[in-house]
Amino acid sequence: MYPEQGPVWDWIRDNAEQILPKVGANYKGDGPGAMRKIPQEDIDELHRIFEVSGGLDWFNKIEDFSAQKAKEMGLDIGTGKDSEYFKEVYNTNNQEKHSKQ
Amino acid sequence: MDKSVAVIGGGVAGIETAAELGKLGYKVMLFERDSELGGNVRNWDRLFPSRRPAKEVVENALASLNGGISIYASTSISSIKKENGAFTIHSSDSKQFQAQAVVLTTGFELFPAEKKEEYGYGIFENIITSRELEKMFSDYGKPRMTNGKPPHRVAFIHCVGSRDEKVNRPYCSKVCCITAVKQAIEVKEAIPTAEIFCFYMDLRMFGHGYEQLYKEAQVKGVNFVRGRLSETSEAAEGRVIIKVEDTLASKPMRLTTDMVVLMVGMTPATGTDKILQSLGLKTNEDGFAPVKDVHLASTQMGVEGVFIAGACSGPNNITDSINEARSAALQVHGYLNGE
Amino acid sequence: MKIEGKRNIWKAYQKEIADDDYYYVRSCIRQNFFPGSETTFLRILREVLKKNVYDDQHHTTCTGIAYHCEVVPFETIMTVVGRKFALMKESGFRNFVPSCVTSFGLYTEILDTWEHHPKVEEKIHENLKLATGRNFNVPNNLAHTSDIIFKFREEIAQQAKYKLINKATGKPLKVVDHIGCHYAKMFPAKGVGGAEYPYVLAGMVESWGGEVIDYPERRHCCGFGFRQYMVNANRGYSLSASKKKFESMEPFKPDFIISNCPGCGFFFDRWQYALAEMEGKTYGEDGYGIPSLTYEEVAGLVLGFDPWEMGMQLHQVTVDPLLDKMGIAYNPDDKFKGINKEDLGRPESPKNLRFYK
Repeated sequence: MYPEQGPVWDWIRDNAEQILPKVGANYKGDGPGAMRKIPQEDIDELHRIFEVSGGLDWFNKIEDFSAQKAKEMGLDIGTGKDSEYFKEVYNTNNQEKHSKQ
Repeated sequence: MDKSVAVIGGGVAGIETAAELGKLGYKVMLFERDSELGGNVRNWDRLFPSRRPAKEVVENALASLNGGISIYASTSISSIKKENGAFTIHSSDSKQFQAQAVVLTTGFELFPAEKKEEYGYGIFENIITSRELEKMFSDYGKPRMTNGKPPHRVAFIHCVGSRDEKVNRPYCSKVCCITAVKQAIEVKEAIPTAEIFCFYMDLRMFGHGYEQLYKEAQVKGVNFVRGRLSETSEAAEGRVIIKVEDTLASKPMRLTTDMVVLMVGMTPATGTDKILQSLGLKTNEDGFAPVKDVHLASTQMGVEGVFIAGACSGPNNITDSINEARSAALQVHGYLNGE
Repeated sequence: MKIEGKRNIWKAYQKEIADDDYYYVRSCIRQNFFPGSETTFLRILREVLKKNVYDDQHHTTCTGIAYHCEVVPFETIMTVVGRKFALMKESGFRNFVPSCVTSFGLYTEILDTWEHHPKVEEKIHENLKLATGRNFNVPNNLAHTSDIIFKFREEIAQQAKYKLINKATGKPLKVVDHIGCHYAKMFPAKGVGGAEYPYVLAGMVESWGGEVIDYPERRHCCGFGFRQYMVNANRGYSLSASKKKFESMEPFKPDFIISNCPGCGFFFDRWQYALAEMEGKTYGEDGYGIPSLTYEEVAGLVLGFDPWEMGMQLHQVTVDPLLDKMGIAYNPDDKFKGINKEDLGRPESPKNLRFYK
């Protein structure tokens, strides 16, 4: 999905547990630090903020219209990265429809 | 006659006002903060539309001043108070003068080009103002880069500090377009192989002879591109790279030039707002001095006995400034005779 | 170039930067791609400058990336930010210091909105109370982490072990300074030096012995842009903006790029790799590319911190030639070792971008 990350990223990902603490990250850990695990109660507060402020409604709207568009395009809406519709939107460059030349 | 009139500002408008009042027999006090009279026109080489030397206009004006006129040069006026129908004029070095009428002719200053930071004035070489170009013509007869060589590609940028909300100058400065056309022709005549560009928003060719000058510029090969400058940067040897848009071709352009001339607009002269305040007047929405009625009383102000002429009330050209000056003198005459 | 002209503009754009007691909030991008830089920032503030910094575990993303992709509405993001301000209030701190430049731009935007539209702020107070029961106050001071390092650049210079010079020739290194668009382009008065000729990084480079180079595309955006990066299909636009900058800076032969925005620094690093692989073209010397450093890394190098503890091995454009140029003492064998010196192999070399000697 992100080929520009380069081979160094693959190495970092493969060796995360050993390399991230070396640079001071608290990878998936409790307490403060880079790349820590966010405590569940904070995630819950965030979720409630999204509910109260219209963020969740907006997400649902996006999902609904995406499903409609997927149907129009004859693509499976699916879920997550395996969604046919997502793969199409993510990968297809249709600039010939948008530029002057 | 024992009636005296104070004229605040010794540019062409002030000089003409003083001259006319002098002819009518009044005692005139002409105040000028600079050491010499003549104002902004002194800094110009040749005037549109005929390209006659600016010197002639100043000399002509000065020649008409007669003995009844007292000139107070290097005198800056800080406030004017009206009391019992007469005026006390205070200078910033604490002197006081009395007059029965006042004419405000404080004129304008040029917009400080360094305020348009992205234009690089004062930062990159070979970016000058229209006035600095006039000085080059006066001094050398042609424009000159900082390395002493003549420029072969010159870009004129219209509307610098005019029609620009970002620097709080939404108004048009009236005369910069015709000045740019005139200067473009002058550069082309001085350096026939030079490539000249004028980057404009609209071309304001409102006066007598202006459209003809514009045509002459085109015939001589000046390129007119409708679009604004977004930023300048430096290239090798002090050359200037400009990024502009060509709105008619719908394309951005990047050009390496030898010299960029910024057509800086007119801005109210410093201190005019303080004088207005002391008279109980506010500036108009453009920051200039307000006139009583834009059609019917454009040389009168909201205070009885105070008159106005020239670019003090807004961007103006020499012809109209001189006409207003003569009109204001007549209005003063009427006022002092009980009209 | 008349540097005086620039200095006058820099003088006109000064801002208030708190001098201690900072409430620190992390950056999504900085944490994930250069976590060592955030560690280094805290280390410099606490160990070198002896400042009081609070690193709160309960704060979350500000959702700025999603906001700029229009996936999160303005009211939601304002409430999320209100929560952060509430956490700060509870901690007893009043000086807010974000690590991310986009966040900084966002907080500036939100505070400006609330200043001009107090009713909007009221609504956010209501939302936050309803969702979490929390109350907030706006910070006393808002400054970006690069502003803090800028403020103490002289103190850092005084404790420096190295300077930004070429050890062999003694000449100052030529540095491209890149400021994130969200730092000052929206509210020029909130950035040190304004938007046209920003000074926050130039000041650091000058204090530490380097020379800032001006090149035509200096002000150009790096291209991150959120929307044009998010989907693969649009990414070429993002890449082309960085390419424009690389082409423009190349003739001036920069020794490295310093940026204050987590996204920009990341992209200068990765887009050079992408361009090398796609077009075979590399910038900089000997095919290695121009190293793209974070200002925390530059400060750390100057202070003599170990490059591998700062995470400089995580860059795709290798920093080794720059370390050699500066005469920094480091152990090349430790570059890809783990926290316990274990052998972790090493990243594969790209085809065109030179990564190993």
